[in-house]
Amino acid sequence: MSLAISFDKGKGHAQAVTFANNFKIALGLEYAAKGTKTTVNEDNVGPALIQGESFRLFDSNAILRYLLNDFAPQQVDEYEYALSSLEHLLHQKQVPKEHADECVDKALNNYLTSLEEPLSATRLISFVNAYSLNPDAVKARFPQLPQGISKALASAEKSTPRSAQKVER
Amino acid sequence: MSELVNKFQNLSLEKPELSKEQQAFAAQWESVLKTGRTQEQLGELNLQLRDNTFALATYQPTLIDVQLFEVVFPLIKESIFSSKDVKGNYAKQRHVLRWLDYLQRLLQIPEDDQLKLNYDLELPREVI
Repeated sequence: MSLAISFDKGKGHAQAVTFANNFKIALGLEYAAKGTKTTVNEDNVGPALIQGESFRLFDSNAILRYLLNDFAPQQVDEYEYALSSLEHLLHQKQVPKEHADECVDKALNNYLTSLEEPLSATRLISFVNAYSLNPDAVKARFPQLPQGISKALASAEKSTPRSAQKVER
Repeated sequence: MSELVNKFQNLSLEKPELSKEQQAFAAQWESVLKTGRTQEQLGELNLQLRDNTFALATYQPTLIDVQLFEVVFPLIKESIFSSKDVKGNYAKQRHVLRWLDYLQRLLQIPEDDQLKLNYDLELPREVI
């Protein structure tokens, strides 16, 4: 049975969150484990991954992990930081830009040191959260993105409603 | 490690082997907990517990149930105490309440701190 995937249409989320959700879903589709059958459902407001009536995910980190079949231990520093610091900030309405930039710098210096393939789900989630908070800093560190990430980025920009595309804070 | 997590880990419960789907549920609730979105996702938790006994669709509670319990228990307690619409509140969170009640007994929350549920309350039929 194929998995029905929906992008985030931006209902009730901050702009950067919608973009990050869609980037993760697009990466999941791009790097999906071999043999994974997916269809994109344009009608659902998402983010969602649905299979039949009993399996549904609403969280884009879990969707990415499921598509990549990557459930490597999640109690590692990089993942803790990606969620508790970077993604937590993405969900906040008012965060001083300096603070967000500082957190992204810390991620770039300590965890996002390479984008060498094959990329783990943890690294992709870290990358997306940092990029969604400060795309310029991430682009400056990685002027040349791996093809899979570039394709997913284009897809995420296309799938994110125009009103939610601006990811600057 | 919190006191409740410690208490849970000392219980002689079998640790279930998780399927790919259950690992995805674990990743999902871990992500919700770590990004501080538990309150925002209470409706999703209620939905998950409508179809499953525990958060990861296991037959036994897991560590994630306890970690969620630690955050959800005070939130629900406050919403029950502060709302005049007791019936509406019960109806909205009925599956979370069932799960909380089981866990508060399992984790031996002191009687005075427990949420006292009224099982005689007649709730409107749930529309699925």
